Amino acid sequence: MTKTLPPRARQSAYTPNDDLSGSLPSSIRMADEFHREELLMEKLGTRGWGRLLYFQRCYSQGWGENGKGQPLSPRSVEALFRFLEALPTSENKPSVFLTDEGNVELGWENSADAAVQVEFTPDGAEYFIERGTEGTVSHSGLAGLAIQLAR
Amino acid sequence: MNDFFPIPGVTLPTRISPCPIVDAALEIRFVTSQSWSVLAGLFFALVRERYTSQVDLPLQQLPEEVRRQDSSLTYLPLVQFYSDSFLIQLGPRVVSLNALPRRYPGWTAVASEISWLLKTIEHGGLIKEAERLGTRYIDFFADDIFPHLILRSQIADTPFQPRELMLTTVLRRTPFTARLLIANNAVVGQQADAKTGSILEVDVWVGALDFDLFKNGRDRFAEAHAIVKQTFFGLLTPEFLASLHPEYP
Repeated sequence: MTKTLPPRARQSAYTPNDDLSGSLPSSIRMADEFHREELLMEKLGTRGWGRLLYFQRCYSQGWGENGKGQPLSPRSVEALFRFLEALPTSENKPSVFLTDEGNVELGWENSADAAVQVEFTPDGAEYFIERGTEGTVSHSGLAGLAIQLAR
Repeated sequence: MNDFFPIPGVTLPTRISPCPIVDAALEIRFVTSQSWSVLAGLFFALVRERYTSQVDLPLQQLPEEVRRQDSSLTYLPLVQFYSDSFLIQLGPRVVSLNALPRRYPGWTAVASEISWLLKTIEHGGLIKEAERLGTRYIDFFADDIFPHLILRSQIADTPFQPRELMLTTVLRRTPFTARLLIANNAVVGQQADAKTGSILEVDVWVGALDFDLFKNGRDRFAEAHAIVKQTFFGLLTPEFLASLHPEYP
């Protein structure tokens, strides 16, 4: 027996003529999307790229016990990308986590073998360096923080 | 990203006739802690005083898990709520305020309604965080619109005026991004109502870090609408604009 999916919701007020309405082949992606994926692969590696994708797919609504985990924060994800743009590429790829508050967190060990953690919040980032300092920065301070923490 | 908005500024009319707007939508993409089954009911309870009827869209028949796995479905609405003048579309990650098809009431009425909707949503506490704020207008013309625009296409030095042409481009005016789509062979309406002609669509939006929904959301919508309006009127030839009987403030 053949089953067909129900039609999609009407999303637009018009339909281009058939000859004009072809979509992009799946092998072609828009440059902005491609750039972001390249950035994730370069700075976080395949594992980090996969984990963020997984969070975006599966944690955008309440999750965890009784749905108490907060959905992945779009502002946190945007803050992560601003940070990664400025973070120098390293062999030592940060690990990616999702906090109960729905924020993305990176963790790695720096060149002095000290643990470094950065949690990207809707307002910026909170960071912690083992045996060192901790603090917060706003979105405008993310690029500077990336360079500071990469030392 | 550098600004790129090469459309000339013109004096903006307050009204043209006949009104070419076939769709006007103010859209918010968001995340919420509520599951879809709870969200739809809570939302209806908030708006039912003004939006008295509800229509489930076909996509709602798909299981939630299937919808969640297909990223192309993420921001599609599953249900519509109707008032006498407007339509609200709601999905698990999107809510939009739409003018009723071909019954655009003017920006003053739209701005007033979005203001009410934002206050209602804030009061209900349903949105944890907003992801994107956008304004999209679609205009329809029975004729080929390209000869009436100051935007030209050509091959070498020869004008390129095919019977079927669709042009899409992205403009930027920080913090806004605008996608402009013009096609001269599109169908508007359905079945007996269907008409073939040209459409001019402008979709203007800001990302998560560039607005705070409940602090400056209304202002951002107004700014996005101003860019839509400037894009539309800035592209028309003076002769074509004059044929639309513009009224100025």
